[in-house]
Amino acid sequence: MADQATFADQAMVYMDQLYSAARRMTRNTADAEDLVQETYLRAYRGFGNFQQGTNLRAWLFRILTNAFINSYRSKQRKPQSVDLAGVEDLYLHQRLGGDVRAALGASAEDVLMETITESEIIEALESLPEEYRITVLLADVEGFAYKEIAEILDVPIGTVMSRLHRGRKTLQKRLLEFGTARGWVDPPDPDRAPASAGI
Amino acid sequence: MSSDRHCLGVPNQCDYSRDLIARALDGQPTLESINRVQAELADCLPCVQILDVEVRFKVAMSQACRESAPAALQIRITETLQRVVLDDLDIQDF
Repeated sequence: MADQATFADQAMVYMDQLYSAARRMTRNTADAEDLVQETYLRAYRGFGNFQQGTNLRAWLFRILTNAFINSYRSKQRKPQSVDLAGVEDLYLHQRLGGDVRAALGASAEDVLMETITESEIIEALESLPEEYRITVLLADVEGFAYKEIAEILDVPIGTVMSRLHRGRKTLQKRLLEFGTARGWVDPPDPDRAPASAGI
Repeated sequence: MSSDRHCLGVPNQCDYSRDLIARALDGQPTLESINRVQAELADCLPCVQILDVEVRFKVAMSQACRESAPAALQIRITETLQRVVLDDLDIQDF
């Protein structure tokens, strides 16, 4: 059992992380602020049930995620339509090369990662369907382990892996589209036979 | 990992490389843990390239999406919690 008197001392240090996640979940500042405040209030009320010595950060993210799913998502604007079809067959390294590599004398992966702006990465993430967006957010932005994400979302670890795989591939597809628009990534080759399974 | 498991040399065609790359991306990878997985995939260049891209991608995501909470929000939440604590004390007094 945790002592409520120590709640602020233990929990407030996670505010930046919770706010970052809330921004990506809600996609707007006002809702993100309200969501973080609600998370802290719920956490304070429930802190007596928190088991000291267990993972407070994961516990707070579980409250944040549940608060978002239960209270906020119904009023969220719908994301841009994202096509998840075909993402299993996307392999970024296969699409980067040729002219880009020859012209710049640099790793094409370096070019992609250094040219894509942070706002484009955020735009790509926020365009993902909610279940993929939250899973990628927890894994790649917050650095939670797969097992922790399964506990936060209350889903089997296989579901986490599947959502992560498709979410990451979809994001990479969006980044490739940004690169293609700039002319330094080869457009898709319809004749290229895709591999049959994805990582 | 059992000795009969090995990379087929074609990326994404075997559970072996798929599991290794997933393991490399789990949680907050260190340079050491990535290098260890990279060494296990050393015979499959495409697998190493996939791992490289995925790790870069994870780092880029993490860097792009970090934001600090506004100072006003921190004050608002601190004050709200203090008010709740005082309310709880009032209730206990009665």
